[in-house]
Amino acid sequence: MISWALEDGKYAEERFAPSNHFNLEIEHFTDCVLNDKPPYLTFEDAKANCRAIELALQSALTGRMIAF
Amino acid sequence: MTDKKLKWGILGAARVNERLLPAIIEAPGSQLVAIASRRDGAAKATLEKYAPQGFDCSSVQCYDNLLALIEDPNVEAVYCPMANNEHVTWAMHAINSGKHVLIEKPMALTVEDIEAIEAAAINNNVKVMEGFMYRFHPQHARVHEIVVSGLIGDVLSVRASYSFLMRPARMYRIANGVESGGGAMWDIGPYAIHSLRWCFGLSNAAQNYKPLEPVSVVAHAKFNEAGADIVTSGVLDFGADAEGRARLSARVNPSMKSSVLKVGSNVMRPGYSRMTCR
Repeated sequence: MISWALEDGKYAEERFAPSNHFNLEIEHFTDCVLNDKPPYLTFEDAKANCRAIELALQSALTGRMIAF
Repeated sequence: MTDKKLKWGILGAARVNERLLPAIIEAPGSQLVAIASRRDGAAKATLEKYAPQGFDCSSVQCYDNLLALIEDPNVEAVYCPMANNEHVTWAMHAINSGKHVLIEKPMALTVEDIEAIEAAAINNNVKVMEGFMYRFHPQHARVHEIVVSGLIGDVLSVRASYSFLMRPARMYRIANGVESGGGAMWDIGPYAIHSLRWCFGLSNAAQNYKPLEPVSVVAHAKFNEAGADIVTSGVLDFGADAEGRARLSARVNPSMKSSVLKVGSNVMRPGYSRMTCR
């Protein structure tokens, strides 16, 4: 479900039919292989996520703020 | 579209197979042809436990040896849900054998290892992707649409909370220190960090909404005897007035609820509902 409220007090929500994201992930990757398409999630994304995790752990272990 | 099916092998008898194994069997264009585990009999047991009712398990080759699956010429794509600190080793084996690989998050524990995987994928002309299934739920396309429409303004604050409850079957997640890929940050942190980067990128039209990267982070964690973080909070500065908060816990009930997006004085809540899994 997604809901949102705006400054003027308006509130809205949207509900989604049940959806199996595991199946959708497999369908996507299969489509990429069979039809030679680039995967939605890139190496650039994976590297940036890894770097953020590494630095967050470094901060937790040292008690210091870490700049990227 | 072609009628050809992609022949998958699953590397390991991990619990996530409860969801991914039936997905590979059921997805159009996919065919499960092999599963392997180092534990004798575990591959067959996992297949029989998680395959949909009526599925012919005898059509799947079960190996008690991981390399045997990688060397199986019938396998074209590998799903790799091994332990976090084993992803790079087994992904490289598979890629260098010419297999396409879906690597469960986190793809690896260092950027250098991901660079090595990327180089191998290019050299072998295979597809490789990090497994963030959550992003494939249709809710995310709708969140993207709403934020990009400008309805709620620029994304200034994002909170992402993920948790799981420590139970015997899940203790392996916190049995090793963070340097070995154990703990909440390597287990559920990838989702939280990924959500934050993605949400802030939705205000970044000039960059075609690609994820925004933080400029600094302050985190606090409680570690167990093994050196795994159990309860972790982080504040990530995404520049200007944008701030992301990640909260991870191995001490409260499982939650895939993520991301309260506070946008200016407005609030948006994408509730990541539990997905149906048969």
